[in-house]
Amino acid sequence: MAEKRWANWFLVAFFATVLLFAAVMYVTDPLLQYGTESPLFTYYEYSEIYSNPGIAQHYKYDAVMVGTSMIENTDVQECNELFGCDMVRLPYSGGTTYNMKTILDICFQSDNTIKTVYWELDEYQLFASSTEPKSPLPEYLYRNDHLEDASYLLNLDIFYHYTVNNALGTLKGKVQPAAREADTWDGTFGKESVLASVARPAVSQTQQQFADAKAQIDGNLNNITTLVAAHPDTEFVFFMVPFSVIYWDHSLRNGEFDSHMDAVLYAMETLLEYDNVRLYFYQNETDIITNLDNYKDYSHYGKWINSFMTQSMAKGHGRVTKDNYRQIIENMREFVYSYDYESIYQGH
Amino acid sequence: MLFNSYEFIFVLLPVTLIGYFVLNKYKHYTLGKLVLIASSLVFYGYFNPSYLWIMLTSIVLNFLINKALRKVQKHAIRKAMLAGGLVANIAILFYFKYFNFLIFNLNAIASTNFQLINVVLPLGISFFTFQQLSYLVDSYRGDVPDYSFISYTLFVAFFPQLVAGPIVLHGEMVPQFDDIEKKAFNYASFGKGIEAFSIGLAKKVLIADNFGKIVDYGFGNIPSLNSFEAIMTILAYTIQIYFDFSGYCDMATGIAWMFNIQLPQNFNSPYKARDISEFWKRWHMTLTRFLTKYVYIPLGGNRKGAARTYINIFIVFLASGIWHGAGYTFILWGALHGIAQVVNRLFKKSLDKIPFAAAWFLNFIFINVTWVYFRAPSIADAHALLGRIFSGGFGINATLTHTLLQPVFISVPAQFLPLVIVVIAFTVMALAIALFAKNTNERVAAHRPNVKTWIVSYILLVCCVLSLSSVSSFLYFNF
Repeated sequence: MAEKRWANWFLVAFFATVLLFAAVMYVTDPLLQYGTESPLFTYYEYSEIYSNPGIAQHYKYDAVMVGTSMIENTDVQECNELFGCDMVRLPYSGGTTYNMKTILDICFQSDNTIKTVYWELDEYQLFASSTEPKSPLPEYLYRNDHLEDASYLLNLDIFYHYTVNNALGTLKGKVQPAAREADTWDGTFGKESVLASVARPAVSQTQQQFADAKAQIDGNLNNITTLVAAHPDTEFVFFMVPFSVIYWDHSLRNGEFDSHMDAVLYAMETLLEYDNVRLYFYQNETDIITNLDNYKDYSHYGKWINSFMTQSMAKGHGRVTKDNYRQIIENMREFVYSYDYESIYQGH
Repeated sequence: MLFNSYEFIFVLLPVTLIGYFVLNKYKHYTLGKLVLIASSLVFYGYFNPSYLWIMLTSIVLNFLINKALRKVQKHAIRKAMLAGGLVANIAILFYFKYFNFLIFNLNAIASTNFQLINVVLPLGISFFTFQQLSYLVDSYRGDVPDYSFISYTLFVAFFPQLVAGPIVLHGEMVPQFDDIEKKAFNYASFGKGIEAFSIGLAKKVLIADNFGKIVDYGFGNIPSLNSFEAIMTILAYTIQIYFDFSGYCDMATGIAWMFNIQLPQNFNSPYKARDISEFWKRWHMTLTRFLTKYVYIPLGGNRKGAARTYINIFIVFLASGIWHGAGYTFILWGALHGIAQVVNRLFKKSLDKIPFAAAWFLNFIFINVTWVYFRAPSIADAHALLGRIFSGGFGINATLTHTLLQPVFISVPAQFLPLVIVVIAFTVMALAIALFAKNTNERVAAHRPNVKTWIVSYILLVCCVLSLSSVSSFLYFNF
């Protein structure tokens, strides 16, 4: 009778459709959840949160670079040449140490032997939440739990944003591997752009206290040191990047600067205790940070600065040790306190 | 467990269906009921097994009181048992739901410093408590046949209605579980069930969850909203709560149909209502039914004069507000609806003369405004959001834009049209569905196994199952 046909055909069609869809997702595997890049695509659509875990799990590499948008313009080829490694870069824009730790855990669980971890460290990471990512992660892509495969294999959004876009890009003859290596931002650089990007804050009446944030900072340092301690055969290279003087102007006026420097000092002390740690500090590169042509907003510099840092690390410039870290921070404090910010704002 | 999850759709539901009907085929009816109960326990305890103890204790307690009431004849003792039972049930509900609210207020008023307790609200406690209260009262009145423990447990714990209603009455459920004719798998019922479930799932996954993104952003960023965003937030919540809750009830209805069980209707296109009293006959109908039967009528209903009638009405809605949540926003929401009901009755003659469109519009505005209080984190936030309507400005913030462009159904049209237009279009469509389309109960009643119903159900179910991966939670889950 009609009811029976209706129901039976419905069940058959429904399950067949679902299985077919899952099969397509499995074969195309646009986010490398099951293996390396398939011969089906030459073009891989990339977005940090969705693409990084697959890359971390299935690419072949012996070095990893993690960090925030501060490393999105780092030239991986240059790093490979100058550091003598085969590196994969896994940034998280605005990312927290939780983001970094989560992706590094996957790296270490992969089949790769990781000789070096390059970790761009900044004040954002020290003060942000240590238990939350910057924005919610699609957990099923980050865990190796096959019970969660359905979230990937039966995912219309991923099919649309990745499988379809990969296919379209491939058909157009575009070539882009899953681990996107060049990531230039569009932007206008220079003083006008920097000053327009964010309003100068009023001078705060209160000073942020390091002591108040210490628990959070400890949480973040713990995320880092757990990894450092767990992988003594891997070298962890931390580098702190140059923000423009306008960033420091804001930091001073918001009453945050002292606590930020206290935090950085504390972080340096903590990290330098480990034998497998190397530390570089570039926040005090006065030639760079006073030249606003290097920046498109108060913290984001052009890729030539990424290059500068790669070359500097390769030759040992900017190295921080137990002998010099206090002086470096002292000098930084002095510079920031004494710099003439007003002269930049004059005429604005 | 959630209805909108792989584990429910691909594992629990099929396994339960097969287990139930195969056992029934070989006339193992009691085992069949046990399968339903077992699935219900798995469904309920899936996220937090400790919830099970609370629910099972509540079930056992109420069943024993009923048994005791059957044995005892003396009026005074019966009354004491009823009172004891009511107090025990309400105390359990109070502890899990309202204790911290009480402590918070006590601390504020009396400057004490009592600690808040670390308590997790068991899912559905308001629902299964109310269901059992009705059973308790009916037991006292002698209106309850001698149900077995299994039948009683199934009535309370049947997984389609366990977590978010409809609030069922024992008299409409237990006879169905005992009806031999319903024990055989029925293709017509199953077809109705598929249709209802697909529509309900679509209401939740495709409509409610997407509007929910606007709602979450709006209520989380009130001070920065422009006029467009503020109005959109309010409309989005009106849409979200209806499609979320009625969608859940549609799924419950559909699942029950698959088992040949009929649940009472809970929604009847409530936004079509001309006035507030009609609204409550169309929205959460089983709650209205419960409050009428067990609160309004015992208070005297409309049999004690006009003034007392108005007071009774107000009390019922205040109780409804409190039932919905432990917070001043809910109490205020309930009170506002109570006042509106009273006003509606008081001026009925004059109000009836207003043309339908005008009356409908006034009522719709009232509904939208009172939902703001229902959803807002605080009364001050509600006022602030309403104020942002007049803030001026148009357009969608960058963060919200980014969130909205994730799902396929929004990002594809947004490639051809400005996002603002897409959002307005979807809002108009959602409201049109709520106002003009046949509701799910009407569809199920008119269900025919033809190509049209097949295609609609197939497309909706496939699209929904392929869209389950974003995080979601039912709004009525905190009740």
